[in-house]
Amino acid sequence: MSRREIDDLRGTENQRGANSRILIVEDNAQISEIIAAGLRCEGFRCTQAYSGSEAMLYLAQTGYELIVLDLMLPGLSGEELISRLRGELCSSVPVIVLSARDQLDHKLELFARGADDYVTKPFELAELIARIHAQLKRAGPASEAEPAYRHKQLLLDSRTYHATVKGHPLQLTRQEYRILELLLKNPSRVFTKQDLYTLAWDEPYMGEDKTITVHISNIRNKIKAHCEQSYIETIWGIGFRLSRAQP
Amino acid sequence: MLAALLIVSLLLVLQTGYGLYYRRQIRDVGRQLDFIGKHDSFKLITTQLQSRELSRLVESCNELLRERRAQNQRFIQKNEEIHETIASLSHDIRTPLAALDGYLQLAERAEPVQERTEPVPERAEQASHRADYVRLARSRIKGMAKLIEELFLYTKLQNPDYRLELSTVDAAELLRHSLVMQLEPIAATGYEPELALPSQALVVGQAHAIERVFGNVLSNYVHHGEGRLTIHCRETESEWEFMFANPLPPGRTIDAERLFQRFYKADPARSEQTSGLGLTIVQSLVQKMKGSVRAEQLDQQFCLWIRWPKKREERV
Repeated sequence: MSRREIDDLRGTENQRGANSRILIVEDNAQISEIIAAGLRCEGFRCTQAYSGSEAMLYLAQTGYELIVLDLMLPGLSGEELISRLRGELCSSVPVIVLSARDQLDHKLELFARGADDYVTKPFELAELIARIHAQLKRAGPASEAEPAYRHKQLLLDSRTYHATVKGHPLQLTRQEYRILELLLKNPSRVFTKQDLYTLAWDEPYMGEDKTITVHISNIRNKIKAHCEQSYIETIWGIGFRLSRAQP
Repeated sequence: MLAALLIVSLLLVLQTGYGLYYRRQIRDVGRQLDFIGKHDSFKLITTQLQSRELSRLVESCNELLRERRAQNQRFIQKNEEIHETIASLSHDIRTPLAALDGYLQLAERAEPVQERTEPVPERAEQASHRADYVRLARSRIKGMAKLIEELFLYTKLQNPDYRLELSTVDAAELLRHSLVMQLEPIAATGYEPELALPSQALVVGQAHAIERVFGNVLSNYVHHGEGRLTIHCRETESEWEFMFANPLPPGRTIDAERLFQRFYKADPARSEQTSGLGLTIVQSLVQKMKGSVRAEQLDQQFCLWIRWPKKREERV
């Protein structure tokens, strides 16, 4: 199962939300209202369905960019709805599932059936919104990568894979660049060595983590040649994080 | 000729007499059973007759009656446990509920949100704006949600038929993730944990369950421990062992026997917003994964050992 990530999103998201239609399938009126109100504040257009069959009716008439689906529905269950969505309707609309079950239950079956992500109740609206943005970005029309990432005196250009510190170019290898980019994209997250392997390089971890240590060390040295400030923090010897900006 | 007739009639009389006595014994047994049944008594059946068949019958009946008595005692004990549980829970849930409602009432009376110039208040005495009370209320809700969730998990784990789906997982990496997830509360203790972990520790288990176990152990340290947390890892022929140690506040003692019991709290006033189920859940989960857990107090240090079986091929 792939790791779920909440990307650190910046202000452009509201614009991206403005034209997206979201179908909310939840039989509890209060929760449905809370979600709809929260999403509308973000700029999404929401339709609320209170049962599986009602959702099918809406789906037959309109297209949606994303579906928020509660599993426990009267009549047609959430899981059956997903099956029919992917099967009969041949739709690849991203689906985020709301579940009252806990993590120890078998979630794999759900993903096999075609859901893209899940949130357990009770949930934070902020988290749901972040996941919606992440799904839309993934599914969306050729979303351009963020043009640049900046942190203190460090600047990364994702189009050219160039990094500069105080204007001086850093000769980073491709792998070093990817690590730095990942850290900058998620400034508050702590990554373990294994995380960097799988997320930055998309490679399976083989039990050898000295490589990462060496790369981090190289990055630090290259930055240090131009700037005394710390950019990568080591946390307790087990993880790395982008250093906090000085207040 | 007459003698023979006399003997035969005597034998007949004796036989009939015995027969009648036998029937009376059986009737007596029947009456005792009726009495036991009607009055819910725990007497056992007694009989004077030494006949083999009857003795065996009576013994079988008594075996059933003993079992019935034992079942009854188990039932009473379970009932008591349920009542104890409800009493503990009642306190643990009502307290945050009262605080929750209290904060919301204060929010109703307070001023609406203004421009914030002071730092965000942590305690109720410092709160004065509506938004502050709402925030405090939300944190109580989070506490309650966690408590209730733990209770559900605990109940589920009590079912002996509930099984976890086991596979090979890296317990060391899961521990690192658990540490990272509790970065803030652990860092807030002011002590950096001392870690000696291998890059990999492949065990047979379930990823979420193991993360849960580590999460609860770390939570326990954050809430009850003092000083620096030390985590070491040791490999044996067939298992991986994780040891967690931390100093205890002076004067605090841990009852290692009762530590894993439901609702045990070192603090008798139950003042923390924890369920008291954390370590019980740890024990249940670890056992469901065929591992073992042990705790001990050595001087003023609290030590906890958790073992998981290694991946089959790696065993010597």
